[in-house]
Amino acid sequence: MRDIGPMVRLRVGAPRLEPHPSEQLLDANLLVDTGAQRTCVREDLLQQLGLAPVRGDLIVGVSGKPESCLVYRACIEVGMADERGDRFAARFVADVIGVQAIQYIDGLLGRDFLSNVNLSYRGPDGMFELIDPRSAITQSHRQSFAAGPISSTNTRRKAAEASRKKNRRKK
Amino acid sequence: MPTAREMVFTEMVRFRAALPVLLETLAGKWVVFKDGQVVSAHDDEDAAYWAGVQAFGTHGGQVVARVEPERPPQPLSAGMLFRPSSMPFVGT
Repeated sequence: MRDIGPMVRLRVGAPRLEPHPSEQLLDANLLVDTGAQRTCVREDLLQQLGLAPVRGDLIVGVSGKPESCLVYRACIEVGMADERGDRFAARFVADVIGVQAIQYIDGLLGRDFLSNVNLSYRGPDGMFELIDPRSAITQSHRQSFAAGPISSTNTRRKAAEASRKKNRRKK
Repeated sequence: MPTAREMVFTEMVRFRAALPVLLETLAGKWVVFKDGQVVSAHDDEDAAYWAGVQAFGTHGGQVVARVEPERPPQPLSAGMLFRPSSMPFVGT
């Protein structure tokens, strides 16, 4: 999975005026894609949630030709952590493009979302962070599904520094 | 009975056809569009979405769209802008 790239695990649901105890949210793994203008999600997952499209947009996909794709209004919940490492769920309603199944992943997290955050990619560590510059809240991830839990930037940084020091001592 | 998907596709064709006229009076507004007509116009997408749901339900087949000139097709991802050069297969 590491070879796929930076992946965010989030939850998708139907937009609601107010949170409801019985609301259904489904897990989705979206690849962070700075080359994608729009966020897209597997259409079968959106239909599973009972969502209906609100319009169509012309998108160029693998065929290389413009195709009419349906746009859905969806609620997206992202796990975040504040500076102390306390976790919470950030929710927002957004337009997502319904796409046919993409290999291994549920969709792409595009610049319509990424333009609101700072993205830090630490390739050698297999890590990336999404930081909300307005409130300094962070989502940190390894490049694999298995390492999904989020933690604060500081915790990860301290762990990495401790590991480096330990290696230096061994040498 | 057509599905919501099919209804939205049909309604989008009508919306695109009506766009030049809509641009004269409703440019920049978010509209609920159904059966070839504007049902209501709003300042933001959320207001238009909920007005559409209230009037026709989630699966009513209404279109919620901004009245703006049509944009060129957007690539799903930058990777879609390129096609690998065709090369003869090299291998055993």
